[in-house]
Amino acid sequence: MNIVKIYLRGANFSIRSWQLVTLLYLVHTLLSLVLVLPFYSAMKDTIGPSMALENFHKSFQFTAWTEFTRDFSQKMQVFAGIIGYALLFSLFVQVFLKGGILAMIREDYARFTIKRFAEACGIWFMRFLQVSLMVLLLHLVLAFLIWLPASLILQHQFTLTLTGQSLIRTALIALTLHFVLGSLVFLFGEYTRYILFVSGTKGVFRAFRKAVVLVLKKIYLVYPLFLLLLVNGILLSLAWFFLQKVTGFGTGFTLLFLVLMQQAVFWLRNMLRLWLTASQFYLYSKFPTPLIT
Amino acid sequence: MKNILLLLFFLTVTQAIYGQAALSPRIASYDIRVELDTEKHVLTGTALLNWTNPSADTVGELRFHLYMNAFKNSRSTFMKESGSRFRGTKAKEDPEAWGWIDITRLSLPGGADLTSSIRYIQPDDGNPFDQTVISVPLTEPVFPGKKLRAEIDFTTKLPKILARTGYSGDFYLVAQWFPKLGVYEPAGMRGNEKGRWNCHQFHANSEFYADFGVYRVSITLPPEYRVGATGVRIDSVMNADSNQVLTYLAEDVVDFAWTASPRFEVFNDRWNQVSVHLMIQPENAGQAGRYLHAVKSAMDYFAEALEPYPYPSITVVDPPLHGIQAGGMEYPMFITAGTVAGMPERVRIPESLTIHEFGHNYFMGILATHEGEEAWMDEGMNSYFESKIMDHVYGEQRSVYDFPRFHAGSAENQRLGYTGMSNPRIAPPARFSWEFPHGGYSPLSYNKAATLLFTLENLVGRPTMQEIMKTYYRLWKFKHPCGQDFIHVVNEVVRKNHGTRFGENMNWFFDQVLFGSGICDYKMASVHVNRIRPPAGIEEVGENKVTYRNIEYSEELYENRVIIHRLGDVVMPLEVKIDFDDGSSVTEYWDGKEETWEYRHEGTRRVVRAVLDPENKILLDLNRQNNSYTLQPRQGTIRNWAVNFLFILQHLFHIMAIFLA
Ligand SMILES: [Zn+2]
Repeated sequence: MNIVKIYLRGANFSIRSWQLVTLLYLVHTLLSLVLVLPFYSAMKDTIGPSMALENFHKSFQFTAWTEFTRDFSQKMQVFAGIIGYALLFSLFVQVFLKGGILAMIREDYARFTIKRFAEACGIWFMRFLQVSLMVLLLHLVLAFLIWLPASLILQHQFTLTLTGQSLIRTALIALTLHFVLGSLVFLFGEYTRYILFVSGTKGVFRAFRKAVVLVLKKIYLVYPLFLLLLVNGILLSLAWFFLQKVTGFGTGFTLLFLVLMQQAVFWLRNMLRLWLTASQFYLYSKFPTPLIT
Repeated sequence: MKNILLLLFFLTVTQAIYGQAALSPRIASYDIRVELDTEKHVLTGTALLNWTNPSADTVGELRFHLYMNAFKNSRSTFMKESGSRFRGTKAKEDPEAWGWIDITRLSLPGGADLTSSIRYIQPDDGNPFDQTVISVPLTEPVFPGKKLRAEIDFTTKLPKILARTGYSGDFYLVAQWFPKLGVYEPAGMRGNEKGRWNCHQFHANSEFYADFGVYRVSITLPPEYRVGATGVRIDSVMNADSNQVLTYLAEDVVDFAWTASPRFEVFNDRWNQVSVHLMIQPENAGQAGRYLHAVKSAMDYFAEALEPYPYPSITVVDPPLHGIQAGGMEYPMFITAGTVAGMPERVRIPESLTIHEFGHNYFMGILATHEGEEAWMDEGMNSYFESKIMDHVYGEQRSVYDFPRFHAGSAENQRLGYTGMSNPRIAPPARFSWEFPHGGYSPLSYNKAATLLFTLENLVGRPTMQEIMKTYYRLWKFKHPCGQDFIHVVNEVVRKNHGTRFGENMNWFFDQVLFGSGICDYKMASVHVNRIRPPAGIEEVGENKVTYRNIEYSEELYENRVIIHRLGDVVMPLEVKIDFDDGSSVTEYWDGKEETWEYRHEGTRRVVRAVLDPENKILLDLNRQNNSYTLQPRQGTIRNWAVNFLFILQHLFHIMAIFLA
């Protein structure tokens, strides 16, 4: 099976898996709605019977916006706290779903039922949680290792720079480094899960070591998949900006159109992610000879 | 011999070029020769002071500012008032970082050496460690109208820039660097009952007040340095040590500052007869056009609004980022702005800084009000003009930030700076700059003062306000007006144009918002619409008792009530616009005095919405969101925001899942 076929097969799987995509879409959306609904009613409460925000569809108004956000900011502080917990909670949910997703991919979606899906989720949850925590820790360490020296350099440069050009350069270098190494951490985590899932390796650490070797050895094969994930995000954002330009600041029917478009975009994003996950998984498990033996 | 010839030539040329009639009373003039040691960051110089006693008093004492001593140690009043602002700097460990000024000799032409009688005084706060003002008792007093000549040798160690002045690397911003005479205010000037020295210490928030004079300054420094300064360069020679000696002449100014750096790129331009110099960091050269456009736009505007810029030159300095604390400063004919690499064209910070600092030439420089005692007349009026110019040149509501979906204007920014204060009642804007409670100086002296002038303009109308400013400037340029002088002009012009429409005078306005600390907030409290039911019960009709039940209205009738509350203590006259369901509307006028006001209307029409101050004239109103009330709310905007928030959250969760799960 060559690499193009792997992508095609991944695409084929994701298209057939509309139920799974919808499930993932719904989980994200429900989590978000839990935050958005009180947010909306707090906004409604803040504005009350005032007409201050009525002309926003014509043009942005800094004064009205500032006065509104000032009133609203206290309520927002509560939200900021809740968002943190919601992110944590959603992390658990996402980790939980991963086992099910991989099971569906492995079984090529042959027998999708919520029950089978949930079972697989349960089986892999604890091990995948360990992987996620490890990845999180690595991301934190990485950020520390890059930004501690970077901030020292920036501080020093600030005492010499004429215009800040050198600071911008340093920050860009640090960001690029962070991006490249961060994407490797992401790939390590992803392949650790595949190794655990496919090869039956018991220990998370051993699987992680194997994943590191695999990713570094076959970087030319695994990295393009990661880049595709990025390209997806960028393309969807571009499409999104274009749509917003067309609809403008939607209210009424244009807002309805906007919502439908937004949700379609997000649904599509879930599907594209499934495509790449499936492709990555096939690359690992079904490549002419499996990537690692 | 050569020197004498040179001097003669010099005098003839300057007389020919600059010998026009004096614009100002030249009370304190200086002839300074100074040398900059770029290794030690030390200035050594001699100043010849020519002072005329402007009063009817016999003056037996001189007072000088030695402002560089504010940077001498952490016990100076400036450092104490600045509080934690400079705590992060390395000044404490590095002796090179501090700055000071010593007078090594002060003598009069008769030979009297007054050096030993110099003593430090602290007229503002009695802080014994503050050495920013000296008193020099004279052996012979100066009689009314008589002149005094003094010769002063001084040494100034420049500090590492932490505010306004000093050095950073090879960049120098040399301000408040020489012994500067205070102002002897005669009786009657600025409300004084009798003559007195007005010579305040160097404070965290303010520094400018001085007499007009002619400054002739010769600066000696290494040849690779590029120099910009107050005034016009009238001579440039090399001395025997291969250093350059640059001579500047500035007439009718209140101060002299200069900058030097070997790195500056210099752009020269013109505005009418005025030469415009921009001294910019080479890496910022791409932004030169932005600076030059801003300063020339400001000159255009002031020429129309007040009078054309009266000096022959203006120098704009773009300081390096490592010395950015010297940015955003104003000196006569010489200002510093500031930017960074990659500053987006749509963020007009360099422009607004340039326009603001240039404007000070009119307020601190030409009107020469007292920045320390009445900052609102300098920073406030100047901020008002800054916003008018920004919004005029770059567009209302988009002059500062100008992105398609996020933009803000300068005037609204001023207002929000004031209304966003955690306690807007903390002080009135009219107060000595060092007496503002912590954090109150800037939002009250700049933002509230500018906003109250905008409110005044909206009340009396733009033509009247333009006449006020023009008249004030014409009457008071080069004369150090005080607040009452301005208010007097306001009262005269408003009465001439509007009679008693706003009362006997406008004092009620200034008493509340300038000398008072009260807040203004009107709230559209509620709108009620009730159907009027036909009356019930019994009524006499002739001999008969009839029940009301039998009476029917031919149409539905409604009782409409619109209720406004005054939440603040400040009273302003208001318009109230009320819209009805049949598309008609009425505008009512309310003097705003009572705590509450009610509009009633009975008829077939129903009120749908009501707005107080519909034209947004009362910009001092702290909260405009509560100025309107609708019975048909449109939730489009917040629905849009909620929908977008949902979309953002979905992606946030999704991205987190990609990286962690
Ligand atoms: Zn200013």
